[in-house]
Formats: sequence, structure tokens, C-alpha cells
Amino acid sequence: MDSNVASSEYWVGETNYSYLNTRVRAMESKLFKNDIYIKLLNMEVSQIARFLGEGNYKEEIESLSRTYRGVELIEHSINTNLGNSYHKLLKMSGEKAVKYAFAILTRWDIHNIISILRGKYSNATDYEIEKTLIPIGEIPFNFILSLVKIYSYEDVLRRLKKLDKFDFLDETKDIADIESELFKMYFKNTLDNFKKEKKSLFFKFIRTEIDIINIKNIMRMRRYGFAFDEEQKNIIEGGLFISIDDLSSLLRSSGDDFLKEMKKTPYGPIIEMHWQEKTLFYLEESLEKYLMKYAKEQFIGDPFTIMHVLHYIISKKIEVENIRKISRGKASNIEKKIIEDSLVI
Amino acid sequence: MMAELAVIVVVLSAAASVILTGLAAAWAEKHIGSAAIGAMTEKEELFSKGLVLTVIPETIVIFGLTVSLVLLFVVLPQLL
Repeated sequence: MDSNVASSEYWVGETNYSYLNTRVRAMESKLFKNDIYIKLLNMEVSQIARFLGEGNYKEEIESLSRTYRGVELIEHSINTNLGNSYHKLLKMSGEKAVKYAFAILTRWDIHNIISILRGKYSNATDYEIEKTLIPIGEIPFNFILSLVKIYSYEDVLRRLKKLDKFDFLDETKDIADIESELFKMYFKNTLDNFKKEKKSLFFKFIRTEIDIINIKNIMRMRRYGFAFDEEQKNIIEGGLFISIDDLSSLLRSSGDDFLKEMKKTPYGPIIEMHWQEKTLFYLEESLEKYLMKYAKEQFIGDPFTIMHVLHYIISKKIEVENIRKISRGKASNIEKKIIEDSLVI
Repeated sequence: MMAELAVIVVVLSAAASVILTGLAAAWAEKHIGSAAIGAMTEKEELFSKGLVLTVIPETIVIFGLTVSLVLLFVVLPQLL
């Protein structure tokens, strides 16, 4: 199968910014406002599902309510809705969306592939793996689903290798190596696609994302130890504020020096706030929040650009993630304050 | 000779004011119309607002037509 099978269907026509951006603004006006999340926080899981079924998620909730219940119904519905929204958006975006579509869709392909590989590696059932998949991506979703049916981790990788863009994969490597190779491939290709537009906001966003992934990896390696080859594997080239050399010295620096260096970047206050915590969970979550807020604030601009589409893509992702956090948190009886703090609002 | 030239200028100006405002209105309506359809696709209730906004550029043509009529029926008779 050719890896570009799905890509051609999206960008057939010329981009009509007047139509596109107004439609996107209208779509965006339907997204949940901050007060809705507070309302959802006071509801039970079944009430959340009912609330979603009466609004923007009606179609998905209705079609999936025969198969799923409770949190699973919410999860599947929001995932399907996210996929439908992105596909709709890319179809109406026209030719100007090509580069962005590659970056956005391939990211979801990687998410789905990693979910399948992790599932196969840990002997999860097909049903459990399918629950984690999001029906978005450049690769047709039927192909992704067919990977779930494949028996072993190695066979999934062998099947993936037949696609042009994943021919570098090696089934003898373990899951951590494959994950880092997939991310490196994704960021390298994306940065290459935008190398002529180094000042573009999207290019900066991707580089900020690289910084955040690198900081997460560095923090994990600093805390749990590392070998030289792990450093090579885990660090991604192309960050906005932190270069590969900086990362290497940050990894080996003392706690004070590390903090001092990080304070020179916009991530300093976040790292300082979580510095004393025993777990890295809240730090990682805050960094993710920073990235989402950064993108949401940046992707606003000239109405005759694709920025509004990117703004919607990020805003929709934030909405879906917030609903996911609320419903999962509610189902696991997590304190309301903790769920609220984790939301991007 | 000068009077003939003035007549030609007035007639051409009258034509240009209609043609140019017509083109400008068309350009504006193209964008407003596209935007209105985009908004209506997502929110049907925006139909009436979209329709009103789409015809607003027509006023530019009315200005052009007025200028043209003034040129043809007020300025031109004085030159003849």
C-alpha cells in the first residue's frame, strides 16, 4: 500500500480564505466556553454523556450509544468527533493546507501507531488497543485498525515497514527505540517541510513542541539515570530555545545550574514551580498546558492566512482533552480541584 | 478644441465611475458572499445577516451611478 493513499483527497481546490476562515470562526463559536467545563465538573459521567449528546457531539453519541456506555461512550464519541472535525476542516481548506495537513495528520498516525505498538508489546487485547485509537491521520483508519488485528509486535512493525515513510523501522528494536525513532522522523520531516518559512508561527510551534519533549526527556533522565546511547536516542534536534549542545550540558549539570539555565527560557517558571515535587506528572502536564495555550494565543492573525484553521485545530484538541480529563477523572473519583487544575482553560 | 476635450473627459469619467465601482462591488461581494456562505453552513440562523451584509457593497455602485448621472446631466450640459 502506498503511504499517500489518503492524502490526495483533502486538498483538491484553491483555498478560499473568506469562506474558510468565516466558517472556521463559526465552528469555533460552537466550542465549549470555560464556564461549560465548570458545569461538567459538577456532573456525573452519565450526565456528561447526556449533555454532550444534546450538543455538538449529538451525532457521535447517538451512533455509538448502542455499543458503548459511560466513560467509554464519551471517549469514543469525542475521538470520533475530533476525527470528523479535522477531516472536514482539511477537506474545505484547499491547497494551502497541504503542508499543515501533513504535519497534523502524520502526528495522529504516530499517536495511533505508538498506541498499537505499546498495546501489542504489553499483550493488551485488541479491544483495549482500539479504545486508544483516534480516527484521524494520513494513513486510512481501516489500515490502522487492520494493524490491531495483527498478532504480534514484530508483525505490526513488519507490516508498517512496507509503507514508504516507515521503511526505517526495525522489528528487532524495542518499543522505546521505535517510539523515539518515530518522533524523530516526524519532527525532521515537518521541519524540512517548513524550512523556507522559518519565521512562520507554525514552525515556531513545532520547535516549541520539540523543546517541551526534550525537557520532559531530560527531566526523566536526570531523575532516573541514563546511558550515553539513551541520551542520543531521546534528544530531538531543532528546539526553539534549547539546542542539542545545551541539552547535553543541562543533562549533566547540577540542580541549581539546571534551574538557572532553564530560567533563561519561557519554560523556567513552570519547571521552578514543580521542581520540588516527587513525581514528574504535574510538570509534564503543565508543559503540555503551556504548549496548548501558546499555540492558541499565537495562531491568530491575518484573515487571509491559514492561521485560523490552526487555531481551531488546537482549540478543538484542547476541548476534547478537557472533556476526556473530566470524564476520566469523574469515573475514577478524582477530586474536583485536581481535575480542574489539569484543564487547559 | 478644449471644450471637446472636456466633454470627452466628462463622458469617460462618467463611464469609469460606474465601471470601477461595479468592479469594486463585485470584488467585495465575492468575499462577503463567500464568508456569509461559510458562516451559514455552520449556523443557518445567520442567513438574514449574511444576506444583508452581501448587498451592502451595492451601495458603492449607487455612489458611482450618482456621480455618473451628475456628470452626464449636470456637468455635461454646461459644457455643450
